[in-house]
Amino acid sequence: MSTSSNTKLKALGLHLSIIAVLAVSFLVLPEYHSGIIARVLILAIYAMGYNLLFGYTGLLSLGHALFFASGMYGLGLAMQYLNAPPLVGLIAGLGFAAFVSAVIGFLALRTTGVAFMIVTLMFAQAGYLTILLMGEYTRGDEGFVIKQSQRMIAGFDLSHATNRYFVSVFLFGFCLLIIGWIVQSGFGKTLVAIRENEERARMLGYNVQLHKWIAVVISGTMSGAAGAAYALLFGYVGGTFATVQYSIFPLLYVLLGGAGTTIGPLIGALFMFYLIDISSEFTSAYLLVAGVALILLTLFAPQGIAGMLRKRVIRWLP
Amino acid sequence: MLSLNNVEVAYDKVQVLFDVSLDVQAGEILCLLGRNGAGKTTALKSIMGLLPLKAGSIRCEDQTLSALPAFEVPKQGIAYVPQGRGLFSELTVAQNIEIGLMVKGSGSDTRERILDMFPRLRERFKQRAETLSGGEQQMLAMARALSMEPKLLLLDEPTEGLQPSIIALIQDVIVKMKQQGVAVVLVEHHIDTVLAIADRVAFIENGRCPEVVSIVELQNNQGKIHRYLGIN
Repeated sequence: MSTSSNTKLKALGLHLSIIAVLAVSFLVLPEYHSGIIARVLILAIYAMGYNLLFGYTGLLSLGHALFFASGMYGLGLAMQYLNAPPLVGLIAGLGFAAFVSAVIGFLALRTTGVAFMIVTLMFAQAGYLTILLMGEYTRGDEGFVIKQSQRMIAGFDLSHATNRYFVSVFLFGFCLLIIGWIVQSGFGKTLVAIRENEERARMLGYNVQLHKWIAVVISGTMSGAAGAAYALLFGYVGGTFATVQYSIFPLLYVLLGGAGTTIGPLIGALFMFYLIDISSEFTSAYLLVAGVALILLTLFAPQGIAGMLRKRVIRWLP
Repeated sequence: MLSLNNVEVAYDKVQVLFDVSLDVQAGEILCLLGRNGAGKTTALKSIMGLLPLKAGSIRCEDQTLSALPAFEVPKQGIAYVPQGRGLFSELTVAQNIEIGLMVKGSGSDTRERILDMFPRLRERFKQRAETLSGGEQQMLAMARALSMEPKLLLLDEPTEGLQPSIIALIQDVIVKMKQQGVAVVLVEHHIDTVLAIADRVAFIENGRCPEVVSIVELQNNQGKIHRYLGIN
């Protein structure tokens, strides 16, 4: 068996083990923590989408909240105003996020570096302002609730804590396997080559611009999937999710967990969520604690937790 | 195989190449020789489509390269090893070679053939490119280019700063490529290498190509080396 196939098998084994551990954890976790994990898994999907663009392609976006909100509002508006069933709402959310990311990717990729960062931030701000402007339908910052009766799939109540947990694990697992497959494919390796040096990748015959655009679309669609799943499982759609704060969150998760690693987003989201949760029990300055943790990690593990693991222990980690 | 016809290239308003015409045939090694800043690297970059032409055209077999976007040029069977090697330094030897293999969808046979040419790379297969020695990095740059199974190979100072044994290995590989029918355009300052492996030499001076001579002609009249390079 070739080294490459061996690595792929090991990675698949690791990903399946993580999914299995998450599923089994429900049996031992107190209800409070299983609720947190369900939320963290959805945010980890968001971070995985972000990681494809930032960690693997080297494009730093400050506008991913727009993609998250596109998925959320695509689903929410379809269910709220068109009485769409959940699965149709999910497709609407994914479709809308894919469309928004395709358009924004096409426009923003005319810039590079800092300009790309600023342009994506501006698009996200424009999206947020649009949500506020169309407050009659979107309910602006206040948002709206998706009724429990609407969050049922063939009698399966998505608002129930147990169902919500397992649907979160399923969606997270599905996205983890997709990301694992993408980053180990020829396409994923080309993204890494582009991250390392665009001109060299072009010199070798790769259409850099097209690869970057596809990366934006996949990344935006996965972020949108997280937004739609969040709305469906937690029953709330609001403009807050389109603010710049929600563009920063996935960046933090990915930096903490390990940019350019498949498991980094989950580690980062878990770490950040619990750090804030635990520190807020002791002090109202919990963001200060999070800030100090970030500084320490940046100083002592600049590649993030999974990045450090890959460097020292699991060298085959994709 | 490759022909440059009255090529002119400029960096904004500064013109670097003036009316350069050259050609190289399959199974031939053409060396571009000239002082620093003469325009040799610019010529290679313009062949690769990395610099737009101000005038003239570049053709490879039936294809006008100068009409193609840069990323399409390597797909015509043209591989380029730039000065400084152009490796993906954070990636391993295996990953660097794989990125080259993916261009043509070549498989493990090609990879094994290349690793047989550079056995040292087999030993360093899982090592990151940035941790290799200069000689090993040059081998990897060559290996990545060869993994694209090129019919035209552009090499920019492949022996720069290398020890004699590595230079000999690189020379052997270039000659082997030539014997397999690959056309090679070589930019080289190492005169011994030029005299040992080149078939023809094109002198580049101040962005022009005043003379192209066969290696036999150059060996019989080494005053040209002094004239164009200022060395004996």
